[in-house]
Amino acid sequence: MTGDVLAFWGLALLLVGSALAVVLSKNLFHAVLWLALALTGTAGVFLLLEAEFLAAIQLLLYAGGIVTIVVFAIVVTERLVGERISQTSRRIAGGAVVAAALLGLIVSAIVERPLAPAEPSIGADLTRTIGELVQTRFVLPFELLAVLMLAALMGAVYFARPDD
Amino acid sequence: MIPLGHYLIVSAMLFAIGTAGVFLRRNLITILLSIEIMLNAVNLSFVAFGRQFGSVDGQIIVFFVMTVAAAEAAVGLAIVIALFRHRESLNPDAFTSLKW
Amino acid sequence: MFSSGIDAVVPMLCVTLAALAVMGAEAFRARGEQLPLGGLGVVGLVGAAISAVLLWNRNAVSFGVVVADNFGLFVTLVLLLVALLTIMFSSTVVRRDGLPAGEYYALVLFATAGMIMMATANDLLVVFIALEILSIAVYVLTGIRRDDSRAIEAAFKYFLLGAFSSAFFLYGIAFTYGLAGSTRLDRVGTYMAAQSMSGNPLILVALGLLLVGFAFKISAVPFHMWTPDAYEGAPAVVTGFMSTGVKAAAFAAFARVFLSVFEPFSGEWAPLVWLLAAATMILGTVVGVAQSNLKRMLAYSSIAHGGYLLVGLVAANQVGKAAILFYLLAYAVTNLAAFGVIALLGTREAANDELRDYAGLWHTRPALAALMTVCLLSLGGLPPTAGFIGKWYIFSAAVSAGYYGLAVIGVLTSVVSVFFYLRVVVMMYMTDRPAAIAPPPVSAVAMAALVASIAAIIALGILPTPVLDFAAQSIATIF
Repeated sequence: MTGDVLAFWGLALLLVGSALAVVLSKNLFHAVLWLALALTGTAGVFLLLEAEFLAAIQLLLYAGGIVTIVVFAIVVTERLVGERISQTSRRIAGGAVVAAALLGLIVSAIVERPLAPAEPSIGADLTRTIGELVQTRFVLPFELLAVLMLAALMGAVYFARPDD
Repeated sequence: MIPLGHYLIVSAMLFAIGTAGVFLRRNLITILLSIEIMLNAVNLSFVAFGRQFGSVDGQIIVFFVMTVAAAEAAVGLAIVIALFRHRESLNPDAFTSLKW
Repeated sequence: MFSSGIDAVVPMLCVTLAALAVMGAEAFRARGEQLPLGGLGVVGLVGAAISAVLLWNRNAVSFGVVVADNFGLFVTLVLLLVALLTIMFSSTVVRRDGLPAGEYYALVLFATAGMIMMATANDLLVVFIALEILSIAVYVLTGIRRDDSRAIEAAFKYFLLGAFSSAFFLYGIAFTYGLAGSTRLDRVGTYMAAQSMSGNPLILVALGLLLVGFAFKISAVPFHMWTPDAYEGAPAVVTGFMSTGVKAAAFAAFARVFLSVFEPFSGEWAPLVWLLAAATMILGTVVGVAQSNLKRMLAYSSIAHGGYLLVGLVAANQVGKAAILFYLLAYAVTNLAAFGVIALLGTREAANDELRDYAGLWHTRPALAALMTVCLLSLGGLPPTAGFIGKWYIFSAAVSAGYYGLAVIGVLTSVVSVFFYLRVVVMMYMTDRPAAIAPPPVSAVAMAALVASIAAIIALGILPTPVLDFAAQSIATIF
């Protein structure tokens, strides 16, 4: 169990550190790379939580897909400007106060929370269970996702395509 | 075993960092990245709670949230590109025609 | 009637199928060919309305996550009306402004489908996904004039704050799930009822985050920052659609979650909503007075109207409950008609939405000026219009629930708001200067939509009882 604990603290440090780096980094490309690291770290935490399937999806869809889209958008917009996109920090105080208040509220509530009962393990074939549930109990939200993707793709293509 | 509270606190810290990032708002794409951090923090909470219940529901919800986040990112970045054709700058303070 | 399992989603399904039909028709359209895409949408909306009427009183549940109770169906019918009027106004605007008809109508229908799903969802996950469907469609509609940099900027601001608030909403869902072990509202409700005395602080965190999420979507002060820009930057007909449809759908989900599931904690959330309501009414009215652009003024006015709806939510007694639904209908028809007039007065080159553009409108376009006057009087809450009855019931609910402060703020802000609505009316009638607006032709369809809305506003103002009874019956199904 010490391996778990060690891995958790390592990942927690990595996550918080890379998230801070995304927010504070002066260079947009560095920020995206830090985001990729944070998303990969999250996949590690998912592994600790026995969510192997999700860890794989996280790497494919998030760290792979979203980071690629962002890099793509930066490349396109940078070419239009012809200079590196600058990062100038503003309103640090306001943001810090709101974030700190939010964090304080949530953490104090979590610490105060009565202890949860012992945790049973999920067991069974995880991927199979997820697949079955998505096709049964979660079938309506799943179908709704199809509608969402269709609307989103149509909108994205409309904005990004060049004028006729 | 690591207690649930630890995961929740890491998640809350990530969420707060993302929120701060949105408020710092230096660059439209960075704001988007900050929102991704917030969603990622929420996902962490879902999986941790689901593990606590010994149920895969939390993981399925996260699977859905990831899809939603991808769709959102696609639309957002497409708008960034459209915006860029007009403005050629991504600093939100450069927009003057509407009050920000 | 329908095959058993999917009854409750049939209205949403009709609208989605219409959206798909529009997309398909657009994809196979020959270049330069004009297709009646709006008509295709209307067919879907009418089908949805018929199925909603057939579902009345049946309390159909599908997949365990969608419930077509009378409350959901009432809001569904309001949303279908909003979409129908929007499409009728759009027929003129799409052709005039050269908007991409296929994308435009498909997105209006997708957004409507998301709104209906949001109003009937019985599961927080479904509420979230429905919210995202409607939000994404509306972000794109806001920037549908992508050659106009202001529209694109508005779309992006709306997108950023929308995504930001969605994250808060989702975090609230995460805590709710973590507490109750489910996102289904019936199970969460059972859990909350059992926990009402426990004082678990995490419940308050969940409640607070959900409240912030909803407050953004109904643009309650101080979460309204996106509203004026998004409303001003979008084409007027889209502004009308989102200021009524998005608000009605979000308010329906808000009422469902807070008045039923979190009802045991109303002692905690009612004071917060009280503050939101007061701030929203005051700021919406005070800042609205200072505007010189009619669209921006109506944006603040719609913020203020969100505040009146919140009063109904705080004073959720027997009168207040029915008043919320009645107000939703009255506000939707009135606001949509007002933005419809603005949309019809614009031209491709100029939006003509500054206050001074309305000078002497009575002399050039008497019909539109008269119709606009009725809308403004209803928004101001003057008799004999729907707006008057709506406000009357909201404020009397607040008084009978003992919220005298809110009622006083509501009446005072209404009186102030009458000033800025009348300013437009005076501009239209009393100013002699020839109008700057070159009168564009108005299609018969759009005119029919306007006349029908005005007739509805006056009918609701004179004979409100049947609709009020209907509203009272509907809302009884969730409390």
